[in-house]
Amino acid sequence: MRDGIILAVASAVMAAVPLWAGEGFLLHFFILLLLNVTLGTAWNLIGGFAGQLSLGHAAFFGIGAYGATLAHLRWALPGWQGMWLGGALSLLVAAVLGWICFRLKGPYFALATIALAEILRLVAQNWKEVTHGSEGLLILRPLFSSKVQFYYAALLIAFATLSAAALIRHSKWGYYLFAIREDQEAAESLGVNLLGYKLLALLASAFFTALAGSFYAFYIGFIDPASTLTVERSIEMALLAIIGGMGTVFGPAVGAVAITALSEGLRLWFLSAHFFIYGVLVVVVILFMPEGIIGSLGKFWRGKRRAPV
Amino acid sequence: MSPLLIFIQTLLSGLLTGGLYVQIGIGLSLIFGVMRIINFAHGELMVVGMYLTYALFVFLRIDPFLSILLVAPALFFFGAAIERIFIQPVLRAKEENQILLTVGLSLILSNGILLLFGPDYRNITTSYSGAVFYLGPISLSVPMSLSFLVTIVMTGGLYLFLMKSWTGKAIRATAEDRDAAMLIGIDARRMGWLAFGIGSALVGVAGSLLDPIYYIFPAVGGAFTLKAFVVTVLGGMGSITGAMAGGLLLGVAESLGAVYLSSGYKDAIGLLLFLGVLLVKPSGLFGRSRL
Amino acid sequence: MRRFEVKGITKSFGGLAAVKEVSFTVTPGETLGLIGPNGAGKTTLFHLITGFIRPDRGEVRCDGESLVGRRPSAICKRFGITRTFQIVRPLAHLTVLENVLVGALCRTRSIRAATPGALSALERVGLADRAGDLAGSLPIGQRKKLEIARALATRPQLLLLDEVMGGLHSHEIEGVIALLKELKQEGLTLIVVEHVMKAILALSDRIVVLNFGEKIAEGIPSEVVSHPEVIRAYLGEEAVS
Repeated sequence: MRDGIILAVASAVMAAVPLWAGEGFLLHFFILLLLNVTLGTAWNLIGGFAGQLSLGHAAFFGIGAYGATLAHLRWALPGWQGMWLGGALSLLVAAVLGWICFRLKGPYFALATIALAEILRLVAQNWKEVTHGSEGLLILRPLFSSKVQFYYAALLIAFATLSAAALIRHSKWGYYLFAIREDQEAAESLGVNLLGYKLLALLASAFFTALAGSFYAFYIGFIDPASTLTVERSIEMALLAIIGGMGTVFGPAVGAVAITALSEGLRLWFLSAHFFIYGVLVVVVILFMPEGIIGSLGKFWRGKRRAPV
Repeated sequence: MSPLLIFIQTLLSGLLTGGLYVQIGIGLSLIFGVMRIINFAHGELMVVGMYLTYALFVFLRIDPFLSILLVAPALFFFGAAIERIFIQPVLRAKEENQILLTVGLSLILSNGILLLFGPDYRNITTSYSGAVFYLGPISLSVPMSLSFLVTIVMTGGLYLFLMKSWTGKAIRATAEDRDAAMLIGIDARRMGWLAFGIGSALVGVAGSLLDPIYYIFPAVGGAFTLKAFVVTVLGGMGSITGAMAGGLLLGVAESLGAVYLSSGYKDAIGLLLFLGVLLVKPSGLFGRSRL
Repeated sequence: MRRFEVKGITKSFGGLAAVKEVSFTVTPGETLGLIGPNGAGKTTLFHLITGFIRPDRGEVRCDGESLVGRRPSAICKRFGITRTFQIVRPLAHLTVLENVLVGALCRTRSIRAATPGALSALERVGLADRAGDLAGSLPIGQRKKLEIARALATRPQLLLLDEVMGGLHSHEIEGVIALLKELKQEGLTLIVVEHVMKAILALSDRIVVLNFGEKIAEGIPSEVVSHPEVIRAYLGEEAVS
């Protein structure tokens, strides 16, 4: 209920952005922000809610981007239909990956996600007849004529992802994912089907990530392996949730604000090495505030509330 | 060249590359065995070794193979320090957080190097960089063969150390059962930073060995972190002998794949092997997993 | 009510038999005490029954259906068999109520429908006033109670309790014994592993004694405590003569 109100208010505020932000860099910034909100929230479904760390989510982003672009370029599918293709493809890949990894205990999932993303990057790099390798793919005719339309599409996707996260969080599914994150054996003894629920979370996460990938491709109008399928892309997605607060509904959105501002700001002074700052942030957050911004604020707030007792 | 000769040639150069993979993977496996932590900054430690060797070569004209004598202790202390400062505090934390911490360290290391040295590709040209020698009709790279020798000496030394010395046995005992080791008076925390130091020294030396034959650039570590993962999973996580077999297997598989399948997909072969092993035999092809 | 049976179950770790050819049955509504020295294989037996470990040989049956090879979650959900852990496993970053809700959600999809059951389970173990606190903040005694509440919330037909009184004060132990007696009266079937002998004797209809993985005695409490094998296992050779 509370989450619903926050979501409604935030969406209303964001819907008004194009009224004052113009059509220049500022609007571009907000589109990137919304894209990051989607990516962080989607990653959080599996990484934060279920505690299954993915360091290869670029795989699903890339599947979305390449799937939609290729559908558009080769089969002339009208724009957003390609998105569903990318989404469906990502579901398929996620199902196979999850089925392989979630039967195992230990850190295999994190390793396997990296391997998957890297394999897909190599495919995009080498399957030149289809992907044009590192030259990349260009979408000549943009889907929308104005940036404002792109903005509202990004808002819609972010809204859908956040709504899904909020619904999952407060459902049986969410409780089960949290139980899995805390202690898999305890969860299992209480009737939680580990494989099934982890798999579902991964599917949802992969699907929204692929949607974001498709959106990215249409918005930028150009994709190549280096912009879609790199380890940096994967780490950035994880970072959004880690900084903001893993396993909270709005943590990744808060993280997205921090990271988008930081990365756009740092790009100006720091160019290539802004990942140095990311590294420092990760280490500091893990060592000193492992619950992220939202979690730490929550703790601070609870602490205050309880103090008089 | 006859098909058979090509095959033998490919196999041998695969083995030589595999030696390097052993050197890289064995440290990761040792660290995992003792501390139950996967070090995602492993490849970046190698890059530190690479740049250290590079700097020694450029500024002091020290040959890469000679610089091993400096790089190994330097990386040992570097790794041990990282363990004491960053890893110790999260030893009891959740696995996700441990992994993320080492991911953060890898970002700091590779981008720190990027800030210091810039993004340029560098290389070290020695008199023997392109040299080959012949075994009958088969040609082998001189620096690769020298590297292989170094690898054999170092991994053999490590093996003897782990098997024969008291400290080595204590490290193995900690890997086998941390709590039991502590009960019989082994200082498990000390074994932790020792293992991390040794693993760092090994992978740092791998960096020195790579210098004469590979490009040196800040982002090179990620690919080798992945190789180290593949080696350890193939061999069974935490198993030292498994890592040796896994490294050689990966080298040979890549080499054969590059010749008979496609050179572009060479790096994917190890990763596919890795996923395949997870599918059919997650405890590793050799030895047993310590998970 | 279901009839539950373990038949010739065996499990070795690295050549060492942790549980060897153990058989027993539990009739509906009965409380079975499971005792034995440390390392006798009691916890391993719990792991085997609830599906956490697969036996090398032997059968676990519930109303004639085999449980071997099923996941613990399925055993809990379909057969109503669940357990507590000797070393407690609270879901530390969830609240006490949320912990129990996870259990209650075994029988319903809706949080709203699960909440009354979860609250009454908390009520029963006396943790209702801590419902909103993080499970990780509870002291050990309350963690043990939380384990029981969580398991009860899954509405089990057979409940396996692994040393739920270990580490409790004697007045707390009295409370837990009273609770278990109540559950028993309501018809719940129990298998209880416990080192607190007073509790075992007060609760059990029958007792099975394990030593080095093998069943060495079985019978009503008064028989078992005077069984020479049992005395030998607990006190050593010289005590028998």
